[in-house]
Amino acid sequence: MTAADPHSQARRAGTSRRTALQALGAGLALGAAVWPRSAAAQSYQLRLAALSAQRIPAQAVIDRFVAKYPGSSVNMTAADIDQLYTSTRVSLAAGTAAEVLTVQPGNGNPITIGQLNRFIGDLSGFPFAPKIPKSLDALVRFDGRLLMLPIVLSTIGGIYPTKTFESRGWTLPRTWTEFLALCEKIKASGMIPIAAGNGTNWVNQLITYALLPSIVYADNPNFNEDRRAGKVKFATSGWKEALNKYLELQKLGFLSPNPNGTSIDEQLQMVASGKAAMAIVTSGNLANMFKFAGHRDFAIMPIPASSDANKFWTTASASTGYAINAKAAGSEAARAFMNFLAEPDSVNVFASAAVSPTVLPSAPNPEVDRIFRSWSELFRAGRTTPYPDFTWPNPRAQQIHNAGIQELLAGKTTVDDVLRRMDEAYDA
Amino acid sequence: MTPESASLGGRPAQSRAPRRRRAVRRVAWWFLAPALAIYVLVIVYPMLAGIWYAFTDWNGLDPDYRFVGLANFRRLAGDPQAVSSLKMTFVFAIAIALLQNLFGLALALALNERLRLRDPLRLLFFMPVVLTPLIISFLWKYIFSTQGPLNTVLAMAGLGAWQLSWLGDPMPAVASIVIATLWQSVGLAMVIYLAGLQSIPAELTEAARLDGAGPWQVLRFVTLPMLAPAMTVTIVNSLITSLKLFDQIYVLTGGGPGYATETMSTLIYKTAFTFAETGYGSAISVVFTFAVAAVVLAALHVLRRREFEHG
Repeated sequence: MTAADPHSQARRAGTSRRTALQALGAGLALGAAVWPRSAAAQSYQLRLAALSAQRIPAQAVIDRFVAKYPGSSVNMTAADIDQLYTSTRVSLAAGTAAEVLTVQPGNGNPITIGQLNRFIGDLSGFPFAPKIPKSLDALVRFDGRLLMLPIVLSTIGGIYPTKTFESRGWTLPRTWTEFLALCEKIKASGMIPIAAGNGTNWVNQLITYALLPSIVYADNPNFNEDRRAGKVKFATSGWKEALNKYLELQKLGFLSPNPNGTSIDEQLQMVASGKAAMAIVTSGNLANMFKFAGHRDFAIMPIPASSDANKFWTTASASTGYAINAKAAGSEAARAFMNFLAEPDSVNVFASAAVSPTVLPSAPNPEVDRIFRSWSELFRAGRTTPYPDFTWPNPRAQQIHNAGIQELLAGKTTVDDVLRRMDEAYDA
Repeated sequence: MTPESASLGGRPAQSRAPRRRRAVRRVAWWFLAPALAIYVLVIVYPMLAGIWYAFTDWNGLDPDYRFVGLANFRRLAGDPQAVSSLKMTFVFAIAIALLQNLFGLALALALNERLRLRDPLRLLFFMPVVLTPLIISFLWKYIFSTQGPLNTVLAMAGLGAWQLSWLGDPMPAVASIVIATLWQSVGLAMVIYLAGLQSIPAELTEAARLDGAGPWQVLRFVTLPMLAPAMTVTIVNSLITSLKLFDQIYVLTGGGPGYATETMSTLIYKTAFTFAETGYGSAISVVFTFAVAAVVLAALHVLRRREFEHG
């Protein structure tokens, strides 16, 4: 074969064309193999089951997630806690649950990590795992596995209008006596001291939980462990004092009328409209309070329940967090979303929308610092305890407490009877 | 093809007819099969599964559960909550069935007369029937709320003393649920009674009037006996729906205050889903199903006998 051989030239030309085409084909094939994968890595589809109180913060993070990964979609369904109990369990049992789920710490209600532990994935290997404070291990771990990503801290206290308090010279109390005196002043001014929304089932527990830290946990921070070991009972502990003080607030006329017939929305609206001076609820309700009031001049105060200011304690809990459905543990989309959620910028966006202190590192937030100032003092002093029910062995005791409060406020039962039934349910 | 021509094939027509009937039946079964399969899948299988779970300690989630025999039923027998819920279920059922029929009949009698606004009024009273109970319950929850329209109207009318915690005190809460349920269901009873009234021959009432019967006597001795079949339908229907009442209670009170409006339906829901005791919840369901069936069958027996007595 010579250079002058037209056939060989033609063959060469054919060969080079074939080679070029083969190379192009291989390139396209490689591209086709690689390109969709890299595109898929940048575009995720997943579902998120959220608590309706966290719809706004969750949506804020979702918007950022979709902006970072164009073409992604996060289908969020949000429901109130009572509906979430049912929908989460039923969808998990049916195998149709969302990839990312809302969970709560402990074992005391149907969506706690203890109850769902076989159905949610271990997050220990995620990059954010080491950033979760060790002090929260009891809340976010179950049987040694990290099952919940907490974003914000929550507390139970009185949400109050700061300008009203400042203009009337009302100062925040540090003892039960001071608290009653404050309520008396508020009542004398023509306002309702405490708006109560006991018509919403889960709200019933909140005043008890706000009082218990000073009465029970200030003296015995290990009360939960002692209760589990059977060393103490609800009926013979500070729980009795807490429930009696709850009733004392009603007897003194400090609670709004018809508490059992009032929903949490009405409760918040009473404060937002200036009819009432405070609503003792979880800090997660601050965003709704802002919405109802049309301004953000509110803060949250811990409720003292002891006559000794040194025993002034309050609650601090990662009451809600996110978990991965075990069936989606290998899902790139779920992993990407959880990692994104734990990024400092996302935590900051979430916490700002939720108006809450953060669990994970994030940028400073002056508004949150202002709103939680009195709570932060107790938090820094180590005078906080998680919500009392998170270590309970079953959801029944909590429900008996909620219904029992309604019965107590309606005068249909006694404190001893409620606590006896709670002990029975706890020990069952 | 005539029977004669059919017999030309060498087989008598009588022997072919059963074969044809069998063939028709076979075809009918093929047509029925898809619907039956769906029915078995979504009704029969879950029902049987529910009965099976009643003998287990399943929590509704874990695939592992134990067979516990009659333990759930023994627990139910000693559960004061179940007893009080059963009582409340019958309180609601009796109150709603009675009032629904009473108001339904009264409306039907009134709207069977020649009124100028008869048709629009019939439509108006029937309209709530086609709405979703859940939506209606949320509307009533707003109306009954402490600061809601009902208390506001009472205050404006100078009836401040009548303002109540409609959903927060036990007795008003029960009454509120009954009112919300009746508001929706009375229209259905009215329509059934109207149909019954229109089937009564005019000659009967005219003859009674000619015999000197007054309006009350016509109602008592002619209209009501002739309405016996309609009564059977509405009473049985209202008994069944009010015994399994759930949406209205769930939305309006959640079974509260305390347990004041807790019925078997809400108890079953809470036990199975909130307390994560699906096995026990299934046991309550099984017992309750038989209780409802017994009550409805007894009512049906009495009402049918009444129909027979009235010819």
